[in-house]
Amino acid sequence: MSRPLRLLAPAATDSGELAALLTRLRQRTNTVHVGVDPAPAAVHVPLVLGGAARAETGEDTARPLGPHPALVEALARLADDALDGRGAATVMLVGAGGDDNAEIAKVARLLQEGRAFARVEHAYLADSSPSIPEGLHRCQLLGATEVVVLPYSLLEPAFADAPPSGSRPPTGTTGSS
Amino acid sequence: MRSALPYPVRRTEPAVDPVVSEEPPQGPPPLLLVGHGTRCVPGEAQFSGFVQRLHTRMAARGVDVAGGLIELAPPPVTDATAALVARGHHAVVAVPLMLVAAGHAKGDIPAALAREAGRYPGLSYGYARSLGPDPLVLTALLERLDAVLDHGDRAGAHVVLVGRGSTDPDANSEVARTARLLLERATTRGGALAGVEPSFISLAAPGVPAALDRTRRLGARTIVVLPLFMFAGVLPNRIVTQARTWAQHNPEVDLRYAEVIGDCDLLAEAIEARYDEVLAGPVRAGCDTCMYRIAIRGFAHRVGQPQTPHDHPDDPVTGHGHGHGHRHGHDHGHGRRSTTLAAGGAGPDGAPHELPVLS
Repeated sequence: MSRPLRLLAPAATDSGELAALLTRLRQRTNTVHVGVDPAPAAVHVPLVLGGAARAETGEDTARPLGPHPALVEALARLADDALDGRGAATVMLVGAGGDDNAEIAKVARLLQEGRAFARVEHAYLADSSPSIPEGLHRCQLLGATEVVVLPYSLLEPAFADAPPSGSRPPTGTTGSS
Repeated sequence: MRSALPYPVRRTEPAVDPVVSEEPPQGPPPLLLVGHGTRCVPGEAQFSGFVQRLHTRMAARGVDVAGGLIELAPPPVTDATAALVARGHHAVVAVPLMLVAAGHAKGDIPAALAREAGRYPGLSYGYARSLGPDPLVLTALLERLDAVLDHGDRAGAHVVLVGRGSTDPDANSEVARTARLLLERATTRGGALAGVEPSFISLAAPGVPAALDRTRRLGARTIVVLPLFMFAGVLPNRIVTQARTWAQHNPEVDLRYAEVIGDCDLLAEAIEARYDEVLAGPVRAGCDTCMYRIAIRGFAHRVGQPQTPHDHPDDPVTGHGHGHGHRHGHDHGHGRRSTTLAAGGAGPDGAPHELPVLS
């Protein structure tokens, strides 16, 4: 028996990104109904990585998507794309900051496991230390000459103010690892 | 300090092969504490002292307690199980004495329990979660930190938290998660630290010297090496040895050494809570990044892989140990066969699966 799949998208989700995801999901299966509003008998899948939604997990609501290995792989590919083949750079994974900070540390480590990045550091967009400038400073102290800033984010535009991928440390670089 | 090999045999075998009682079960199921085992004499003493501590603690609730080890030192899990069966128990609640779930908690111990269930028809068991970064464990770690660092000195101090290290990405990432949780908990319990850096004593990077180097580059002048280990052992000793060697080459750094968690009430409280979770009904393991449940880069072949018990000198997987007069001597075919247990089994990708429950 299949039940309708309902994506629960945060209000601020980019509508174009969401439409593309719905199209992609419908291509994967024609037995699952996809929507954005709660509905009776539906299985609700929140379009979030973690945080408070973890507590909402239950019979009709799936747990948050992070840190599914497929997402870790997708993050690694984003970093690879930004590096354009220069494998041994530092990656700085940036989480929103708040009640799920340790999860960012875990995902950063998962991103490092079995991959060629020189190191994977982590930082937080708000409310937690290290901030993005603090995190970049740490990378610099550790000898990084190139840093990929990688948002830990699904579709929500929470990182609109974050530096673009592939940015370099804000000041001159020293040393090497 | 190491005991001389071979270990002195201190097993106390039941006079007869126990069988599961036909009398109806009375009272709550016993707690079977399953630890790793060590060649380190103080570590052995801490384990047996901890089993005794839990015995006293749980006696107030009428709960029987036994402890067994999966390798290196007596008593093996099978002796602890035999003792519980001989005392009339039908079902046991097994709690892994593991700070991080890796091969032992995910594979060896469940397989050892499956083997025991096969040896004692009618015996059932429930299996608890590993401790992980339980708040009680974090509190115990902060107590060990406090013993070597005043609260007033925390702001200028870094901690290098040294875990076991594994080939299992999930296990290593749990150490990273624990380091962050410790950093955040320290902030609300005694004062913020300058930082907590994860490290591993083997099988994963950064090792202790590399993590100390890294922490020094971040500006550390005071570093506390804090082992993420329960009891004294060969690997905790290695942490200290490596750190001392590093200190000789970095005399400008004030390097301090914290103790292992050890036999303490906080740990006992955490184990009791895991026992209670099993009693309360299905325990869901966190399987999002478990290599036996979901394909992880480089480990796809592990999904659903059958698990086997670890080899224990007193309960070997193949052939004889010291085994003359071994009570399973009548059943060598069974004893030699690897007990298999699909840790992953069928199931949706990485969905939290319910651990074995009491029947």
